[in-house]
Amino acid sequence: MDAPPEFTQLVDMHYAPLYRFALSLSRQPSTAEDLTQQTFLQWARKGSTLRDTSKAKTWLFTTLYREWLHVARKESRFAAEPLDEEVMEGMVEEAPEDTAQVDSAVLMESLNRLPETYRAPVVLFYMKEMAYKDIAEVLEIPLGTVMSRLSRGKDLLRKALRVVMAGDSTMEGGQA
Amino acid sequence: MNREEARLILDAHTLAAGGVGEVDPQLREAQALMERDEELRKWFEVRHASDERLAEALSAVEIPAHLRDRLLKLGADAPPTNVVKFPGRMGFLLALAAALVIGIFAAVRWFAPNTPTMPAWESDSLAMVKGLDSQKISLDHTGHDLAELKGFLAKASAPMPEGIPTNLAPHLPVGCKSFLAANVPSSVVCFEIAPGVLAHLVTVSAGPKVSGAQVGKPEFAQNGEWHTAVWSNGKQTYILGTRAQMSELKHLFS
Repeated sequence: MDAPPEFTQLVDMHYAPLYRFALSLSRQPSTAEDLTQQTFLQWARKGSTLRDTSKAKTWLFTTLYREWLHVARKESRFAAEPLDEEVMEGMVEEAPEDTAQVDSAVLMESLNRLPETYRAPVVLFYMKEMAYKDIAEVLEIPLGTVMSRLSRGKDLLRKALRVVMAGDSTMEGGQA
Repeated sequence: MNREEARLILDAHTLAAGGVGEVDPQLREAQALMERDEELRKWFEVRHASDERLAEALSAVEIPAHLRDRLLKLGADAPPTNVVKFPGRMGFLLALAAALVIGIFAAVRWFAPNTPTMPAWESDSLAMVKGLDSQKISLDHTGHDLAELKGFLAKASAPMPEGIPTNLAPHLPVGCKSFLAANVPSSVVCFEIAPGVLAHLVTVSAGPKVSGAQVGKPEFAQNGEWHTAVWSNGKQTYILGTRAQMSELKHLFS
């Protein structure tokens, strides 16, 4: 069995994507920090027991996601805000592929509008951290479900991007 | 494979993340179709470029400046208990702190992440069963007639269970679903074995050589609050999962 990675090394490799994943789930920077901290605290205590150390990244993301599910169950405020999928369907017929103007703020606002069912796999996908097999393991859903949620979620994200960018343009126009 | 099926698979591979895609026969088939289908190829190129820009935007999300230091402090404050031992009063205080931390997390945690030793078909099946049980995933078809459910699965080209445990058969089925477990066609039929308590029978179109399951004799295991039995009839592999007690699960086979 390989020795587990050093704690500092593990933090440096994964804390940024873990925080971004947590932020996309919770939409609250303070909650995202707490989730990231709790995840690494779990590792500090239990990481040495992981039999396959190459799975450290998946372990961390799985742990964070489970922490989030626990928080979300307690905090019903997270459940109601995203736009309803059917409402988004009616907004735009064709999802745009032009993402040249998308910055991180617009992206996060658009991600926040996705139902969580799609948001979690889509964020894991765009972080380029793991293949869809690993995403399935983290979210504990079948591979086929990951693929369908990714495809659907990516389409919904493009629609949300258009809505958010249109909103931004309107605001800027009003201020000019 | 048609264009829409290929698109679904290719959409999961527009960004390079390595892993299963490189050896996935479905991906190879989708890529082969893309070589012949100009429209599909153009869609993929545009999608890939667009996804790369979104990935770049996500990577630009700022991280709080103090977070790294706070995390590193955690590592210093909470070393693994099986590696570091402190003598005397320091050891007592650390043990007390550790007990508090363990108590807090035991209260909020149902079980630890899966160990990576579970075969992919089994972890996929268990994930499906958990999703159905928690109603995060819907059944394809509901009904109390097992023959009708089997007919539905046959139409969906999904495997039908050829053998059902002796004491499971008398229970009322509630519905079924077809899915892929590690890319293998599979199905699940759910039975109500007690009021509000379900047992989910997954059938995987793979024999024991592929699944590693024992023929005829179920292997029982516990995964968190879930109890499972895995076996094969020589042609198909089954996993029966329930949150009922282990003794109740074993009773279904007696």
